[in-house]
Amino acid sequence: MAPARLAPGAAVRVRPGPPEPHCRTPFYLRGKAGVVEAFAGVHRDPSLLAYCRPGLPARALYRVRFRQRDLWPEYAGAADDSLVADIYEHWLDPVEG
Amino acid sequence: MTDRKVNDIGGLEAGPIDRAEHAQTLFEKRVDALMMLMTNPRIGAFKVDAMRRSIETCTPEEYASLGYYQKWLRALAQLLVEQQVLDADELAARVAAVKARGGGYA
Repeated sequence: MAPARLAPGAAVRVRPGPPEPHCRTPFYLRGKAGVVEAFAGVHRDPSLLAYCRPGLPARALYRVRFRQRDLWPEYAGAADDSLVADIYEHWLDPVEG
Repeated sequence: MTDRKVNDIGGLEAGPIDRAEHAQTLFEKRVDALMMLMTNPRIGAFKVDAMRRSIETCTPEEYASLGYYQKWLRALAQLLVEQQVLDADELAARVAAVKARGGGYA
């Protein structure tokens, strides 16, 4: 298994798209900033499995935490309410600094 | 952005959710069984990722009007033809024959 490239706590931003050929990042997360919560292993690439390819190279999967207030403009809940999504490395960009 | 796919409705207004349960119909059980068979690693016609990709090709009208298992059946037909498990003409002829037979779907 390949080593984790992003450590827990790393700041990331979901790539804005386009979602072709096949991207499983929900629309409401595209372009949003979050923080890596955990490394969730290396798995066959779903964007290739979707086309009945072997899904290699395998890709690192991360559990990424977002603030609800960053996702929904009218969010009225607590400031630290959050949402965690599993997102593959190739649909994320690291955020410098 | 305009690249939101028809299935990707998280966060959109959806109205009340119907949480009523219903008994599975024979049609639903058969579609479920066929999907389990085709995605079983020993057969491996395609994986769930491909099924999702196929369902995402629904038009908005199809996505709104087709039921859950009808979307599965649409994906099964599309993928089994794409993967050359079934021949498109053969499938169409068989569908026509079953329709002509009539009698509904028990």
